[in-house]
Amino acid sequence: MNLENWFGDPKKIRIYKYIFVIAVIFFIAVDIIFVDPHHVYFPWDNYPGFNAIFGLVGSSVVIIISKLVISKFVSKKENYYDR
Amino acid sequence: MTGSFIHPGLIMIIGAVLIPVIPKGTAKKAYILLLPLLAFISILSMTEGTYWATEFLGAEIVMGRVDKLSILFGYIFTLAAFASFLFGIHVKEDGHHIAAMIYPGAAIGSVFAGDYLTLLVFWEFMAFSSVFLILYGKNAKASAAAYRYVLVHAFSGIVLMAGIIIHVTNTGSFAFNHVGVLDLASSLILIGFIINAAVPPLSAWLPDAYPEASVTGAVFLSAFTTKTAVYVLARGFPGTEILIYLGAIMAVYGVIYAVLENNMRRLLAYHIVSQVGFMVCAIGIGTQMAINGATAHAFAHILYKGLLFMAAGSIIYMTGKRKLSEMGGLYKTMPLTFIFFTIGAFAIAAVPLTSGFISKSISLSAAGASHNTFAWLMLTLASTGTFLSIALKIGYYAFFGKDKGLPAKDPPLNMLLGMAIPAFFCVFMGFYPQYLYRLLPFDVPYYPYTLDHVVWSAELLLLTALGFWAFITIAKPKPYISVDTDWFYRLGGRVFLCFAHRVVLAIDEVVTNLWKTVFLKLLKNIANVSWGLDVSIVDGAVNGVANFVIGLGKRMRRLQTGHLQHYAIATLVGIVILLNLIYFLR
Repeated sequence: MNLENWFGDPKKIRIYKYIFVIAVIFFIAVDIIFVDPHHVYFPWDNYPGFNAIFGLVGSSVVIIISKLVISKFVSKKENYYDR
Repeated sequence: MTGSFIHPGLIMIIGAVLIPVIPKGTAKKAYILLLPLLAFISILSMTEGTYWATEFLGAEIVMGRVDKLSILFGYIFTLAAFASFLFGIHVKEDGHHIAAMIYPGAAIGSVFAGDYLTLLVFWEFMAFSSVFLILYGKNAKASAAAYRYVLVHAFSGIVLMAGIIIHVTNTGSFAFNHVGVLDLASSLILIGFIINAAVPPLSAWLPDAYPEASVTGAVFLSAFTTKTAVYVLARGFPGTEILIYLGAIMAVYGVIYAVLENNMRRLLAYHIVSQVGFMVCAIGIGTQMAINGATAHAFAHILYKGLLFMAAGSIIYMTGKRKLSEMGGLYKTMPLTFIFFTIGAFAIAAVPLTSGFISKSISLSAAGASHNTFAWLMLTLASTGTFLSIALKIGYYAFFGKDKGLPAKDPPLNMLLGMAIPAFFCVFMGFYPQYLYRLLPFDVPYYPYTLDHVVWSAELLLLTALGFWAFITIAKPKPYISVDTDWFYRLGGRVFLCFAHRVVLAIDEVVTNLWKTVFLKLLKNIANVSWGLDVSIVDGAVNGVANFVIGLGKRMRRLQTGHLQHYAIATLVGIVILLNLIYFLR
């Protein structure tokens, strides 16, 4: 099996990026136009696109907190326990 | 008491003993694969009820409690064992197979146990068989990790036993059922359970030990210990409020560490902590829907996590590399492994049409239905982190990224088939969730594929990918390790020795010098003074008292004349004085 035809070609990678952007726009559009939530459990369930913002902010926060804050306290050299 | 019951755990445990006698080659491989299959058939033919109940040393022993909850865990444990054995059937050592057979057997035994004594016996069996899977990692690091692992599990066993003994003394019953109130006994039992569920801060044993296990051993380890703990929590402690918060914190805690991690299997191990957090949180919520969510999630999790550990194991097996910073571009050389990994990664990230989506959603909906904002926010944050650190981080840095030109190819056929089984179920359950939902303990209808649900999940995942893209330079794995709470028992001892060496020794020296120079002299002086006091005052006082007593005796003797008339006069005088006294005092 050769996957290089799928992932090795820069032209195709660019197409995937377009597909990605279209998908984002599509789902947010569907959220705004069609989604009528079954249950409103939390106040934000009424705001279309909330989950999109949560995904962007949440993932950024996780990376930043973990890699820039927590790592200051817990990251050690690989031979830390073997000294 | 209708229907037949052959204990599926004992099929595997007793069957394991015979592994060395079976002739090497195809016969042995067939025999090893047959055992979990027989156990599966035995569970398939079960009907609900209580079996193998006997009296033992005055305690009611139930080895076969069969209901929907135990059957569901029985199915998934035997299925996972079969797939894992297929993945690792090439392993040469009999000892490895025996340990790997007893371990799931003991987990199944714990699941069907209806009383604390049976549970405890299988619980210990589980700990002491699984440790061999770590030892078969066959290096000094693995041995050290195995030692720490067994210490932690011995501790959890002791805490559990203490709780059970107090419980039995108080109630007189060994029966293991729903525990209502948290008193001393049930708290100790709960602590024993949550150590095995890897709830922080008692979680460090898991990411410490699992990455050091053998390639196949890690696949087994990922499935049984923590999920047995999920089962006993669901059985004994549903609706225990503290579990909501522990689970929610645990889900994010695992993710934060996973984002930091460079060792691929350690990253996956942290995701066991995170995923079990979802289940623990759902058990804490404790509604019927939430318990359904926790068990469905456990079922799906065992399959996709096993698959991910198989994919990671395949990379280690074929390249010898464990760290993400040393990998890259593997999709070209290991395309099938890449595809299986992607299925597992999408499933754990709950991409629609995978098993993760139809199982995790129930827990999240249950958190929503109970209006627990904290739980919902933490679990959703953990969901983005899961997609981020497994599908995107491992996916990008191991299979794409900078091609390190590692010589590799896809692993042997049996390993690929081992991966194909869970991969099939990950997709199958995503398309046909009703097959899983039918097995769940409570009859609560649930529909995962509503428009709002699918659209919201898609938004969350797509924008998480965008976030990863934006911070890809920060997220790059770096060759560092992260210390966890295992620091306290790994370096705590060393710190204590250092403390003993530097501080205690110094204090000891000061005290000794002080003793020699000051206290000894002082003591001598005090002794001299006290000697002088002894001679002059104490002895004098004693002699003086003696002399006084002698003198008094002499005088008293003169009063005793022996003449009767003297005594009569003295008596008369005494009476007159007495009468006068009485007269005056009147």
